[in-house]
Amino acid sequence: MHLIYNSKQKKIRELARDFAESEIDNDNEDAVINDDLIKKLAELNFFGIQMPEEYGGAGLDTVSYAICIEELSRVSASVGLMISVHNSVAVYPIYVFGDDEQKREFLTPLARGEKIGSFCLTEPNAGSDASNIETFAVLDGDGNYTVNGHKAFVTNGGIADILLIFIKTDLDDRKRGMSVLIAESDIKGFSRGEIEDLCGMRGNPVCSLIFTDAVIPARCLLGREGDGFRIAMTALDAGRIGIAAQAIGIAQAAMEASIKYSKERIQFGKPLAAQQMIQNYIAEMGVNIEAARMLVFRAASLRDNNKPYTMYSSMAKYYASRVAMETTTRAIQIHGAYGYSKSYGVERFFRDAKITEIYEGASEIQKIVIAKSLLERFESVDL
Amino acid sequence: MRIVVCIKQVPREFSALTDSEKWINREEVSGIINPNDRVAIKFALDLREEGDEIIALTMGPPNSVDSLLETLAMGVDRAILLTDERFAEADTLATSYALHLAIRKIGSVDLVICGSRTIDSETGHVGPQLAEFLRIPLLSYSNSLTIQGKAITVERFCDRYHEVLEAELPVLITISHRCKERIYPTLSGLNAAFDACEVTVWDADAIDADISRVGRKGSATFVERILTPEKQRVVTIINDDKTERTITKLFELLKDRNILLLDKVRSRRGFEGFDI
Repeated sequence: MHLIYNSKQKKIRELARDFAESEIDNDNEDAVINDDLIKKLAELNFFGIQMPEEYGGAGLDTVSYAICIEELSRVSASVGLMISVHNSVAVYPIYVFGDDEQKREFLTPLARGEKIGSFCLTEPNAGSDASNIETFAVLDGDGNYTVNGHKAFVTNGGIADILLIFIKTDLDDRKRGMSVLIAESDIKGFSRGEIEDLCGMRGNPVCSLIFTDAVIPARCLLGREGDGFRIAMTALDAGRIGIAAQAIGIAQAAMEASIKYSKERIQFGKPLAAQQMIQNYIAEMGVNIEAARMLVFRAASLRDNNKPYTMYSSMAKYYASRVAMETTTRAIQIHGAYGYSKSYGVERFFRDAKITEIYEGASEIQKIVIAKSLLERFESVDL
Repeated sequence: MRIVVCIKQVPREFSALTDSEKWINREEVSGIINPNDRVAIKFALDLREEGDEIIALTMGPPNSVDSLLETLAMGVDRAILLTDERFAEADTLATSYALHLAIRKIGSVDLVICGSRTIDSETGHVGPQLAEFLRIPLLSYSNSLTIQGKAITVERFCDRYHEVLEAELPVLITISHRCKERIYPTLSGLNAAFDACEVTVWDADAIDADISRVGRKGSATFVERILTPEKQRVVTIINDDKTERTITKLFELLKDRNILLLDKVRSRRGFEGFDI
């Protein structure tokens, strides 16, 4: 197992960092995502990081993908979220399960960043219990599905052009009754709810999506009827690496802000950085972030080598999101009351970090996945 | 037209000084393309017309190949690395000598573009010295340029003057450090460059260098010591009873430090401003 980034991956980090620092304007947290930024991200292939060049992507590996998400999230978690969700749970499932026509119609404009993708699984009554979705689709004699239902907390929802909609095609079968339809946002019977007023990730237009007798042609069925649960789990396995990388980016930003502030702030006649208690905090931040980064590297490397990685992506997501919460909480503590105010920006890291323990599989779900893997068979370290 | 862009890989962080504090260990620190040289690459790419060739050239340790691959990812056609232990510890004179031999070897070069200075040494010598070695005109500190046939026109700002210079190709131009235009490689460009592109590597023999004129031997200057400047922050508290007097004192302090101010400063809330 190699734990060193190669020259290409280092250059990708440099590019993503320079781009994020120079082009993302955090002045107005709620408006960080705009058409100009999307255009620039698209020009550099951030909307098709791992897609082959024939579809307009960059053809990179998962390690590079994680690096991109970490660096974008270090500057803006909302932007990192847009790119992570678009790449891992919107683009990737179409690449794996889509037929040639679907790839031509949907994958290419998504990978080029001409269209934004979203993953519509969560509903008011179906969060961690994903099989409990109620959105229902009926196939009519003309070869069209009529869809009715309500999707909640859809990342990129407010700007999404292409939707992966998880629907029930058989209400009696919890898992095998689930299917996925791909739809453009201009279909009849589709509407968006208000942008959610969230604690963090405020730059991302997260909203509800409502389907009222929406008509979607049967050729837009991804895979076959009943493949929905498998598609969701495949997408989320990959997605968790992105969210873990995002959590690391947030934690890294919080640590850097803490280091800077602790060198400037004088208390008891010396900088905070010279106080042992603060050094303890900084040391723990550094160790935890680096350990989380190595877990992400491990999960990503396994995926790049076509090895099973489900348990590792769950470990990475569970641990990195915990580290993000711990680090951002400590960052506020180091900043004191200034940290609790909006003036230093560290409270944003704290607000952004919390959701990484919730979305794309809550920490409790990750632990179920990890425990199940460990208990089913003894997982020895790959030699 | 054939354009050569000279770039330098510089350290990303400046804390990595060697024990002797005489030179930066360029093998140990992670390197980036000197920011001003990135603008030089952008100038070259913006000029490109069909049939033109853009070549990136650098002298440095073997790991400079990463920066050259990045130039290929940006759209440069060919990249050449001058690397040889005998080139080590070169000052700007020895560097310019080696670069000029490489440009001679490339042959038929119409335009050489350099940054005006690097963030690691700030001498600004290499461009002018290289023009001298190549015996071609130097148009320094360019802000913009246009080429028509063999005629090149360069605009620059020097000492508050706006100058327009004209010359006939071949010439060497240096790019003003005031130009901050951004250029990024694409992700697919980096992927293709690092997986499939090659950098030409030349040693001292390949460019027929006189060994007494390269590296430390060929250097006219040597670095006695390199130090990281210590940051010193001094707080001055001006506390006068009257706001206007406090502000007047503040302006006096700023003037003492040669800080130029606008004639009138207005509060953002739109109150009456203060005359300076």
